Amino acid sequence: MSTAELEALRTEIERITEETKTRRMKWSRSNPTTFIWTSTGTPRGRLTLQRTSQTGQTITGGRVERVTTKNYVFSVLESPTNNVKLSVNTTAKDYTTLREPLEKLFDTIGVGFDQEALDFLKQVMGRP
Amino acid sequence: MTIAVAALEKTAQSDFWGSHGDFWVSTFIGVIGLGFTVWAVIAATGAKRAANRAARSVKMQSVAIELMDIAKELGSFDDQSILYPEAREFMREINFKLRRLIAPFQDYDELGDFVASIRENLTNTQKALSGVKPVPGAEEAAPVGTVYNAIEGYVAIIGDGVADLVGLMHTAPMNIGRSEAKTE
Repeated sequence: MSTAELEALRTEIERITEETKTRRMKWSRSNPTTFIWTSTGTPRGRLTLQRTSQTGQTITGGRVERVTTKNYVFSVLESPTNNVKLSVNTTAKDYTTLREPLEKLFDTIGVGFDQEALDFLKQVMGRP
Repeated sequence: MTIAVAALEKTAQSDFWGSHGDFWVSTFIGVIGLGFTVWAVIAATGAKRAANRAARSVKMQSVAIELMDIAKELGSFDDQSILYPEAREFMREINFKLRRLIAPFQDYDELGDFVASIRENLTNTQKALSGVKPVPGAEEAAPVGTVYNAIEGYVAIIGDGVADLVGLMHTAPMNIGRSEAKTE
């Protein structure tokens, strides 16, 4: 992917984050580290975002330290065929620049879920 | 009077133990015997150590063979469509076999770090797997590759660690020592 395309993708991810924040995009959770959003318009598609972790070793001042890095797999799939149209894994060198915006998106989705759960709790308890 | 004193001195001299030849003969034999005993103890200790090393070497070689099989299994992990139940079963087996095989080497000076690293990554894999456990009642199933993405990095690291361990076990079984005092 060229630098210009990467920049365009980054901008698109930031837009998605904004739309998620304003609850225009509603994600579902298929497991604790994977979120899915399904489009309703045409063409139909799905976005998936997964967080993965990798533990590596770094040597600092002669001491071996273990460092855990969070990475993200962002995919765009065609529905209902599930053909993968785009897949970005930040473990790949080309996509490391997208780690930060994807982390922001993941956290935003997580916060949305927490907020939704809290709102529901308040409703159940009859709180304003 | 003078004669009596001289006779007494002669008697005293002849009674002194150091003047008896048989004393020195028995002392010499005793020292030689003690020397042989010390030598025998040293030789036996060395023999015991050598026997322990040989036993350890045989044990390492047999464990290394089993570890090589596991390394191959880990190396062939490339099913990107693997689902959570299959991955859990795969890791359950690997986890059990590996921990059982490497546990006896945790205190060995040159192997301890590798053993600790493998254990840590086994635990990390289990955590990563928990992270992709399907949520009950989830509206949509996770896409293909989700489980693979979550654990493949750790599986590769564990495979590398096992390969390193096998290499060490093959090349330096006689030199690798947990502090010998601990076991011998």
